[in-house]
Amino acid sequence: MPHKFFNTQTRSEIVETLLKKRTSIKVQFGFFIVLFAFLLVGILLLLTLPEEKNILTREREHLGQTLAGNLAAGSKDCLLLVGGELSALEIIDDMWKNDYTHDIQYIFVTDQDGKIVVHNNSRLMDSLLTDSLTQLTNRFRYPAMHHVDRFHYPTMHRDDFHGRDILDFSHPIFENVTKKKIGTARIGMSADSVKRLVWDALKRVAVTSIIILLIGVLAAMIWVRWITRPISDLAHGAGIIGAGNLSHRFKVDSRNEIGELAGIFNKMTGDLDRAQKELIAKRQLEHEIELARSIQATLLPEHIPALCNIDIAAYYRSAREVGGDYYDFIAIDQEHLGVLIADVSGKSVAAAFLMGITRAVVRTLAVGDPSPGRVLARVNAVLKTNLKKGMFVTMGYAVINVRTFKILVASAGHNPLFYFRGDEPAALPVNPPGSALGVLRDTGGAPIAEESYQLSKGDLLVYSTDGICEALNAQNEFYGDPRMLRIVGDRRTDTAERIKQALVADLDAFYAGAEQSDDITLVLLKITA
Amino acid sequence: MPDIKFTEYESGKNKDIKVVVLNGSVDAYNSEMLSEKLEAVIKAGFYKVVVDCSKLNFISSSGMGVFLAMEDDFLSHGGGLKFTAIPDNIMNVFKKVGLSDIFKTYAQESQALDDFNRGI
Repeated sequence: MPHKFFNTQTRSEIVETLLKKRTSIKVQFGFFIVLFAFLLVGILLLLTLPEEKNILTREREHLGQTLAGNLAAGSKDCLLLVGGELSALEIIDDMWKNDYTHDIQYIFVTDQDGKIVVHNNSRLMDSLLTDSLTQLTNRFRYPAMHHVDRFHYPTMHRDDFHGRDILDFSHPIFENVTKKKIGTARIGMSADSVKRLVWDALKRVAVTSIIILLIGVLAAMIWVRWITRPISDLAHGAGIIGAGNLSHRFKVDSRNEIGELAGIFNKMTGDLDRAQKELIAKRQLEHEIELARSIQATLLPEHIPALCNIDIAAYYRSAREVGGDYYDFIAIDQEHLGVLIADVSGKSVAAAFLMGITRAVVRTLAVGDPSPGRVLARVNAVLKTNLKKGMFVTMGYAVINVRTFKILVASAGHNPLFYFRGDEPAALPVNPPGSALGVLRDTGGAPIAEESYQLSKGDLLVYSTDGICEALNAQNEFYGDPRMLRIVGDRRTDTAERIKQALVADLDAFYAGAEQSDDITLVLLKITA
Repeated sequence: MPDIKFTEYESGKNKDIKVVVLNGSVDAYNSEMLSEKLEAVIKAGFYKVVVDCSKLNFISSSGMGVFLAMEDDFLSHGGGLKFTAIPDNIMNVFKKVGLSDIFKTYAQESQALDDFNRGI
């Protein structure tokens, strides 16, 4: 049932579809062009047709007047001479025959009394006209036109005349010499003829306009298709790219903004492609770093040895992308504690891996051997066959006798151990010579140098890596050992933990929010008893 | 990431010694560029190489690792790797790590060239 079909719900659905649905740009363009063309033609017609009508009407009236004038001119004889109707009859005959459109309904001439002297209908000749129009026009000395009802002369129109009014054209006939009015020429034309002519003209104009319109619309649609095809291509291509194919490129043909757009799309896609690849590479790198970091986390000692007479503090914070420092505490035997700090060359997973190997080798060889120099030499002998050429590890290794507080210090290419002795204001750098592990391939197991010292209560030892002294801030300044030693020296009497915190805080202040340039590794030992 | 730029020229009597000038800093990330540069030098047939460090600001352990890794390549074919004009701060690290025991270092290029000519 129609009523049910067009209920409110359906109607709103339809409207929504019409309004919201995306139509092709061709359809939008085409629709607009057709609408515009129709409007244009409509306005044109609206402006020209009334004028056309006026012109045609005037032409028709002019024709009527002219015909009446011709008839008047040729009818003098029929009014003056007996038997002089011939020429007039010829004219009438001529006019009647030439009236193809049957607009002329009557042609006649009357004398001043109203008697019909000649008529297109021979039966009406010699009859007397007494109607008001005849009487009126008989008195006129000038041509005139009157609108009359068709039934004014009911016997005087064509059989096929179905119009409404008649235009009666009258023209006075004068005698040549006396200029006296002797008669009136009368021609009746269908008023509808004007309407018909206008209608014909309208039809002609309309048909022409429609033809032009159709051609125009066709041309416009072809042109629109040609113009919008690149847009469809762009839309299609964008869809391909959007689906994930970043290697798709547009052929840049059009030499207008669309071509420009295609070029921009291509550049954007290229940029996107590159950015995506960079992102993937970056993610991979970040993943690697995370991996390295997690490996490193497992290599640092879980607990700091708690000894009653030695206060130990340690700190490690890796830089974002550099990995490679570590520290360790080794229980060598009942009397000896090994304290170790190391810096592994290289970065990321490679460094973490090397660190794992090194730590395992050192722990294995250090147990039971209280000589740091010897241990380092043995470690080097093992490592050199296990390291890739170019990889090396710097290491500072000190062995403390926890009963006698005698300390042996060795170094494999590492930063000095700083020894704050007794009341001495300045720290002593303990820096025995020794190449980094993995650098010398042919040490032949010869021991690395050792230095020995006797520690006493209050002495402080600081192990660091070059991540502290070579820390670089945003102003490109180095942190430097002197600054570190000053911070430590100022808190000489504090606990190892407090001194460590102060140092870390100072480093943070130094970096002032900038990215940490290298790992921060720190081991502090204080003799408390 | 710091920048490292290289310039190079040939030197020595027979123009068989390549001098590579390091301009900038070498760290873990651009150390690859250094290794590619040295590999290219060897591929071009130069086994006697002098590294001019006068414009070197900083070199990390990765950078030093590059030289260590290629030590044997330079020593083959009777060549070698020498360093000149090393700034003090870098020299300290070379000494600490032990690089100065492996590679000879000189203050001036002419001294390095002399040693090459003498076959050491």
